[in-house]
Amino acid sequence: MKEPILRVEGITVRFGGLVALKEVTFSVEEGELLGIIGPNGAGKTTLFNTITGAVSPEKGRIYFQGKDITSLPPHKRARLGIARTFQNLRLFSRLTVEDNIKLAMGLPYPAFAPLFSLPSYHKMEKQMSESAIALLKTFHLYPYRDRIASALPYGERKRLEIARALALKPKLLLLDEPTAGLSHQEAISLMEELKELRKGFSLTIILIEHNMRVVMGYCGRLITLNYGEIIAEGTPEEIANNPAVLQAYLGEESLC
Amino acid sequence: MRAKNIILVIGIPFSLWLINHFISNPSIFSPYILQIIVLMGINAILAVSWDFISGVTGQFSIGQAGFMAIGAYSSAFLTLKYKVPFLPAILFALILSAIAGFIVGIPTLRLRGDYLAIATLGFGEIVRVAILNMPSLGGATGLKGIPIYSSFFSVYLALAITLWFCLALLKSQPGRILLSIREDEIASQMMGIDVVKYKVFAFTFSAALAGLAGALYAHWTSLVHPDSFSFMKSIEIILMGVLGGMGTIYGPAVGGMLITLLPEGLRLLLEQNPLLYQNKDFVRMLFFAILLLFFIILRPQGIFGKREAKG
Ligand SMILES: Nc1ncnc2c1ncn2[C@@H]1O[C@H](COP(=O)(O)OP(=O)(O)O)[C@@H](O)[C@H]1O
Ligand SMILES: [Mg+2]
Repeated sequence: MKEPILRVEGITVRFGGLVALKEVTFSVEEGELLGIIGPNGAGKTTLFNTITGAVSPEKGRIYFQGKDITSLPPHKRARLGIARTFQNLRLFSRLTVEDNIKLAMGLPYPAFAPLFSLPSYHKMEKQMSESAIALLKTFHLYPYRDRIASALPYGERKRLEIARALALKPKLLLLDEPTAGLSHQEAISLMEELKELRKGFSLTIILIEHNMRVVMGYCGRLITLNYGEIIAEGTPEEIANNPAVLQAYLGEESLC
Repeated sequence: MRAKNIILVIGIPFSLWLINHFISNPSIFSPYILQIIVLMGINAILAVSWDFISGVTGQFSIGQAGFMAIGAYSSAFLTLKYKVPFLPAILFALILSAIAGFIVGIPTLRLRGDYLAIATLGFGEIVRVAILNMPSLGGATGLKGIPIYSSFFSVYLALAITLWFCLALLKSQPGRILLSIREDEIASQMMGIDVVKYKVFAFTFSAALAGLAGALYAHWTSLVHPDSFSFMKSIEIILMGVLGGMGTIYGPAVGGMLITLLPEGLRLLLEQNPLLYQNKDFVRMLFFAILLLFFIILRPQGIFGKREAKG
């Protein structure tokens, strides 16, 4: 069998007395679009923080493409090909839209090259501009390229975050509630765009979604978290009819 | 592009050299005016050094005077005691202050915000107190009779190179990376940026520039004293940067010049009034305080800073 792109084994995360994740185990196959759902405070964002290295687990291991990355610092995980977006946008607000994208492209020339205006510097900057412009066009952000990121409308800022994550050329993309704050119509069109992207960039995507209606038609598989534990895993249809999931969402209106 | 650079590389030093002849001639310019102009250049380098770490990279330093002291004392020690020529002495000062920046940077840059500010403040004071207690560096009396090697030419050439390097970095990928660390460290890490490495780099580079300014200062005034590098000097450097516009590099350079020039104008006024003149240090601090308040209220982005866009 082919090695899954991501394997999470028995992850436990504790914040003081609170167990945010408890023995979480699952894996993601290459090319999959996996949905993670669960009520507020279930531990979904914490799971992303653990995969990207922002939070260290108390127990358990994480494997990316078969390599144990549990003790790797966040920037090295990003360079291996794990990119993410944030639930509460974290753009570089005072930088331009184009610079937000370029920034994720690493340092393709020696740091002293700009000091002496070396040819490698001009050549690589030009290449970076070209790929940034291509990405901006894909996300309909090209007209905004010289604007300060914080000056963009909300929907555009959300798209910029995804574009910035893609500038890393990731293999695995983690999206934390990408449709939150969007209308149902906008949410569906974003999901359509992601579907296209997944093909275009040969990406594996894990998507946190609060609203199950949005993920129904797009995710092949769903994982449901509640109080830090996986309470159900399966196709969207199986999840929608799972009594434990319905129980977890009791009193919330977001499940259809 | 390349032609423009070549013209700049040859043209700037040549123009500075020409101006130097003219400006250093006491029959044309009084030594007092020359003194102010040279100190303006030195303070401009200091303000830019602070802006690189604090305005661009977002790591608030209150210790620039400490790095300046290391540059001033180390170069003066070499030229005074060992008759080392100016250029090697400056290079030594640059390297030593860079090493100090590197060593201080590694542990402190893991700290954030207020804690980093306090740590750099502590560093500045440690340097000053250490010098006070080193007899070979003159202790409380300082070093006197340092050869006057600095000139309008060397100071402004150093300023030109400083501005060139800082602006070149700012508009290229290393600069973008430093700015991203200022904006959001966590997001920056998630974009594959080794935040600690870049912060240490920025700190080292900034310390080297402050050390360069210190070396030029020592060889201009011919004497260095621990009190010249006190906490108040660090605050003055911050004022220059804030006034000019944090994160713009050229703004703080202008800020450094203005903060050097304005008190001289003030002094001319004070000399008319004996009572004020007796308390001139107090009046000077009051003036700076009012100036800072004025900027914080009316123009928080400084002279050249861009106003932040509203979300
Ligand atoms: N850095 C942190 N420190 C302390 N508690 C945290 C931290 N991050 C998350 N938590 C807590 O962990 C639980 C899970 O949070 P989170 O993963 O954000 O949930 P979700 O994304 O599913 O809404 C919540 O109770 C939250 O308050
Ligand atoms: Mg969340």
